[in-house]
Amino acid sequence: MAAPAPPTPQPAERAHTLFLDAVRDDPDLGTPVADALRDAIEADELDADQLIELLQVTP
Amino acid sequence: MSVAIHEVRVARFRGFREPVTVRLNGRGLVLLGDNGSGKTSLVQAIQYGLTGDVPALSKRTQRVSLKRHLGHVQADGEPEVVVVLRAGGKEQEVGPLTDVDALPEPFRSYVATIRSQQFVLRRSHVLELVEAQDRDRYKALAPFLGVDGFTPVEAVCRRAAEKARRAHEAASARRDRAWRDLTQGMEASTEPEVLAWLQARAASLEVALPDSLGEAVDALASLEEDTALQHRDVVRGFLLSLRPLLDGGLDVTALATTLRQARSFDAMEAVRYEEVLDRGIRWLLEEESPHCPLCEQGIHREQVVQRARERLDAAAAAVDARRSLDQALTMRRGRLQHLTQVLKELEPRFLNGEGPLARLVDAATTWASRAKDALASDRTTLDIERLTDLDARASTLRQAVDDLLQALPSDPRGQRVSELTVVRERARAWLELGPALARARATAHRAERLHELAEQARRDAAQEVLASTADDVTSIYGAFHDHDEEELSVRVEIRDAVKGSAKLLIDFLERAGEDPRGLLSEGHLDTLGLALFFALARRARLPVLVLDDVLGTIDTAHRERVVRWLMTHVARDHQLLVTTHSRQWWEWLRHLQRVEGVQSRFRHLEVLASEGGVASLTDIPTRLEEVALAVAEGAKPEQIGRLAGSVLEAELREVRVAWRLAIEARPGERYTIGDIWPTLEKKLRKTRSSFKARADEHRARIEGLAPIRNWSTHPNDWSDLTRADSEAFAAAVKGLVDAMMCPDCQRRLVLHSSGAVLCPRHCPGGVFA
Repeated sequence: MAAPAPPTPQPAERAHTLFLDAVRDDPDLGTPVADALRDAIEADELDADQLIELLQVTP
Repeated sequence: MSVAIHEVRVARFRGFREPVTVRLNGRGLVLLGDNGSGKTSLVQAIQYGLTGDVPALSKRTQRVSLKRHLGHVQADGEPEVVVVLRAGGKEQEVGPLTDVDALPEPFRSYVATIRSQQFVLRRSHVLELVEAQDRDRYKALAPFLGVDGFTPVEAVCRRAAEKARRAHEAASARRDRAWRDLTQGMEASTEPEVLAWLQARAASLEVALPDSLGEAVDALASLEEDTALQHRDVVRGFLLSLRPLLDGGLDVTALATTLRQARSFDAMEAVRYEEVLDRGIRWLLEEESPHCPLCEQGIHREQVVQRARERLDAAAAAVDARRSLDQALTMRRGRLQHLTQVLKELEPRFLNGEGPLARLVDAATTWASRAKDALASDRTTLDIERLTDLDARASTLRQAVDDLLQALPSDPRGQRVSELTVVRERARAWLELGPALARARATAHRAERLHELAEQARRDAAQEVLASTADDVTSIYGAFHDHDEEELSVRVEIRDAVKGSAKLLIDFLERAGEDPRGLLSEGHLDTLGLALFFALARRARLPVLVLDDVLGTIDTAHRERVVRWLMTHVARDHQLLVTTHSRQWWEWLRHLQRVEGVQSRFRHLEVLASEGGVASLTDIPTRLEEVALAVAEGAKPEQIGRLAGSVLEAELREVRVAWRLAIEARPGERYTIGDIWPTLEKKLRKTRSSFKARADEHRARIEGLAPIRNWSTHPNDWSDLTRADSEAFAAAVKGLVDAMMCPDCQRRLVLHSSGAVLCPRHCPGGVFA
């Protein structure tokens, strides 16, 4: 009746992983953007203006 | 360590007006109740307590909202919901405002998992999952897919993409405007054409421009410094400042009038004259003598006073005239000093040798010098003729200024440079907007790409969930219908993640990729929706699942399979909460629980509603406790009788199923005690097992104390009951209920076809042969 620990990642976590991997592999975005995005998401500090700034400053 | 819902406490919430506590003790729950009795209220309370949301209210329409419709319509105060979780020996209270991250493990993981996905399946969900259009199906599927946690990131990407796109459009519009300004009046539609236009005009000034617009603009800036444009602008400024100083010259006409007035009296003379006249007038007015005090001649008093006053007025006018003359001279001297200053400030490089400007400056300087000399005299020696001559010269000079101003714009070189300068400034503005536009374009492109990738990631994650559950959906659906899995397989394909479109397809016999709505019956579609939900819930390892009135439309033939599957595949691993308004379903669930040996995992409650909302939410043991409490507290005999009667009625309904009593069908399965009691009595009389002796004593006492009737619905019939009889009746009811239970495991005994009464689990003490 109880919930055993999920053996596979939750879909939301999976989507995060897929997203960051896709950003990393994208020729227009790349690893710097992916890393900056990951940090911002983990810090729960992502908003639209910051994201635009991030896209402007990252190579 | 497993977590389960132990207790739910509700007050002033939806159908619950008064505080109610429902104890699940970690077991599943089957709720039976009529429409509007409060089943869904309890489901929503659990949903609200665990997630802080009731999607049926928050996601319906603008007119239905949590804020407005969460509380009971007649209750004062805020709604209260507390869900008590238990794991091992630990308890944790959770409410709508609970911060998940602040919870200790394993409660944090439990609530986080619950909040990540939809754990309540309603009838409308089943319809949306299966029968909706593809776009609506995606919306219906989304809460079950567990990708909601990614939605905030996707939303930020979407907002960023929109903002970046708007910024790019604004930058583009600014540059378009700059381009229109730049090409205004020139036949050019490309940058090289603009450059050619500039080069052609610069060439006419004998200036060669580089073959790049940016460099050409810079080159034009240096051209300007050396050309007549600056000359022209400086000279124009000089002439415009000179003009008002010459305008009107020295205004000699006004000056001469003032001068003549001032000269008509000598200043000292006038002062003395004023004193004499003043004294004379005072004397004439104060003395009454008819003779002059000086010459003793006879005088005409009025005539003398009149003449004296006229002279006095003339003297005052002369004093004013002198003051005005002094002011006029001061003003003119100031203007001349300003003019001299302006003439001096014009740089020699603009005087251009013998040109008209140089001649004008010479003449103006000479004029200013002479005028200064002429005005240096005091009023007694001021030469009006000389001043008049200077005024005429000033008029000539002003005309020369006007002529020069008129001549300046006709300078073709200056005009050309002016034109080039305007275009140069516009070209510079356009060029400067280029990098900003390029940056905005690149940012918009990257933001849009980021948003696409976010949507793609959500779609892929959701598709992975659906793909991984496709076999399970097929398997569950097969179990519901006893199909060979090879006959029918199910899959869901997300076609459009952006707009949200999910296609439900089945392969059935020889038909591949078919829309199930074209091949399956309504009932089969409902079970397909259930199969989808259960597959998704099992994949998500949701610890609690709620089926809110979703079983009612399934026909008898499939009922057993669905319920058996629920008992064997869901009830063992999930805390399953089921609501139904069908007593038939309720009884089937209980029967199959017993058959599958999972009865102890469930608690069955009947929801009874009254005018104020949920009136009671109880099972037979709880109701018996209420009866015992009423007796202990000395409640009225009428109340004790009514409570005990309702317990007996509920017990008889259970026995009807357990003993398979043949009773004439009633609409909505609403059997009353009058329907069941006679049939049970017949059965008890027929049985020759030892059970008869076990139960007969209580049956006979009940029969002797209260005749057969629907006690719970006829409260007035208890009005004649004495206290002793009411307590005896309550004891007999409890005795009969106890007699119906296995002494070992407390499960309800069943009547075997042999006539024996047995425990369904075959306990040694539960055999009454």
